[in-house]
Formats: sequence, C-alpha cells, structure tokens
Amino acid sequence: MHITEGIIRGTEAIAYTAAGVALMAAGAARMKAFADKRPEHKPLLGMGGAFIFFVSLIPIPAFTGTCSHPCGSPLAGILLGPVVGIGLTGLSLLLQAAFFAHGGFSTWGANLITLGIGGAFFGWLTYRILRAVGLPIWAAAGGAGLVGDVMTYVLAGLSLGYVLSISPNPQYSLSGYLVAIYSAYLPTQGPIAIGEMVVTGLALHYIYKQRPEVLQTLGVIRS
Amino acid sequence: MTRPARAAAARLLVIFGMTAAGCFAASAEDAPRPAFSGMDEAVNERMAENAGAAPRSPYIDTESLGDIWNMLLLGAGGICGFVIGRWWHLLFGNRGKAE
Repeated sequence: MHITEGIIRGTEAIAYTAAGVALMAAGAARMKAFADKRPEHKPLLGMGGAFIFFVSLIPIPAFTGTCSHPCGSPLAGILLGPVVGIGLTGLSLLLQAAFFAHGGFSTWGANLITLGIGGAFFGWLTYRILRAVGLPIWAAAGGAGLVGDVMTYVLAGLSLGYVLSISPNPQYSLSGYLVAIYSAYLPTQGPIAIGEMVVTGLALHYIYKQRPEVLQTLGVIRS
Repeated sequence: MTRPARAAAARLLVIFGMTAAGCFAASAEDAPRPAFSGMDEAVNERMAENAGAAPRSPYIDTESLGDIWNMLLLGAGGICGFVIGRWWHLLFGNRGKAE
C-alpha cells in the first residue's frame, strides 16, 4: 500500500521521514555487515531488493473492481532478517517514488514503516514464533507471509487514518477512519494476502528442499 | 447450531457488515473512477481528498510522460526478472552443485 505524495504534510511528514531515515540507516549498516560476513550470499541482497520492488509494484485485480499488490517484504525478512528487509524495502520505495509515481518522497517514511515493519519485521517475527512452536517450514513461512501482508495493511490504515483524522476537514474520528479504511481494504487485500501466504510458503519449502545449507547459513533453520 | 458455530457466524456477520460499511464510506461522494484502479487511488486518495488533504502530483511524474512510463515499467520488470531468476537458479537451483 502506497500513501500518495502530499497526503502526509508538515510535522507528521517530517516525523515519518526522520523515522524512515533512522530505519534505513540501520538497514544499510546491517546490509554492509551481511555482505562482509557472507560475501558468497551477497546476490541475495539484490534478489531480495528486486523481489520487493517488483512484487510491491505489480497491480493485481480483485473481484471488487480495484487492484492491489502483495508486499514481498515478508519473504525477504525471513531470509535476510528484518533489519536488512527494512533496508531493502526503503530502497525499493525510493525507486518507486522517483521513477514510477508510486508513493512519494514526503510519504516515503510512512510507507517504509508500513511495508518494512509491517511486512519484513512482522513476517520474520511470525516465522520465528511458528517455528518455535514446531510448525514445519512451509507452514511457518506461509503464516509469516499472511501476517506480514495483513500487518502491512494494518499499519497503512493506521498511518492514513491518523493523518486524515487530524486533517483540515476530517470526515470521521480515528476509529471511524480505521473502520472505513480496513473495511475498504479487506475485500481486495484479503485474497492477495492469501496468495502471498501460498507463495511465501512454497518459496521457502522449495529452498529448503533444494539447498537447506543456505538456510542454515542464513540462520533461517537450525542445523 | 452449536455455540462455537453461532459465535463464528456472528463474527462473520460483523466482518461483512464492516466491509459493507467501509465500501459505502469509501465510495461516498462518488465520482466515476476507472475500472480496476489501484486501492491507492480508490481508497486512500479519495478519503484524503474528502478530508481536505488532497494528494499532489509526483515530483517526477513519469505517468504523465506517455510511453516513457511503460518503458520504465517494462524495463524494471525485465531487470527484476533477470536478477531474481538468475540468482535464484545459481543459489537454489543446482542441488549439490553450487557452492
């Protein structure tokens, strides 16, 4: 979910951008450490970035007559860790804002929090929790894809609802906006979240079958 | 109907009710919009306009540059496809062969 240029303004835009820059700095530092520690897996950074960039740009039509897109950041978060996932998400969003009229520079921080923390962090966290309770890799990754996608839209609704509730001419209170936004997101995003669950689960299952040692090196599974 | 089934049915009703209310709210003050527009436009931008926080044009508005936007989108898709496909094959595709 991209919040378009100009919707967030003033102090809120500055605060979101500052938070986004801090997250991005942490992500860049972790990416450098990842590349130094595992140079043979450096291409994974490019792959993860390309995956997030592509998946979060592609519009998928829903039966509601609107389009939306998956996130991609849950899979990147599981494979590369949440901080690296957030860094790659920040780069993807910057390119999308610069060249594809998706999102915006003034809303980059809010979009990074949404897609990075909602997708990469909550996806990673869900995967860890589900693995800790003993679920197989495909199920844990699928659950992570679902939760990461849903949390992305939860945070997007929260950011948007908050900003609109303090806008010049608010139509609802914050809770009213949240109900309206989530109810409008649900019919389109629900099926896409299920699709992201399937793709994330299948991708990690395939990697585990083909090259489990890569997952061990990355710390995704224990040896 | 058992109690858990009734509770589940009630939850479903609440979800459908909220969905209907939200769709109604999002389509309030309807203006015709193109079919299959993105949720960014259909939901976010519409609500923002109603709240007096209308979005502004992108600083680099490639969408208004005709086929340039198509070129960028197709080029980016091709590059992403190559990067993902190539490295996926090298990293995960050759069981027992790749380092």
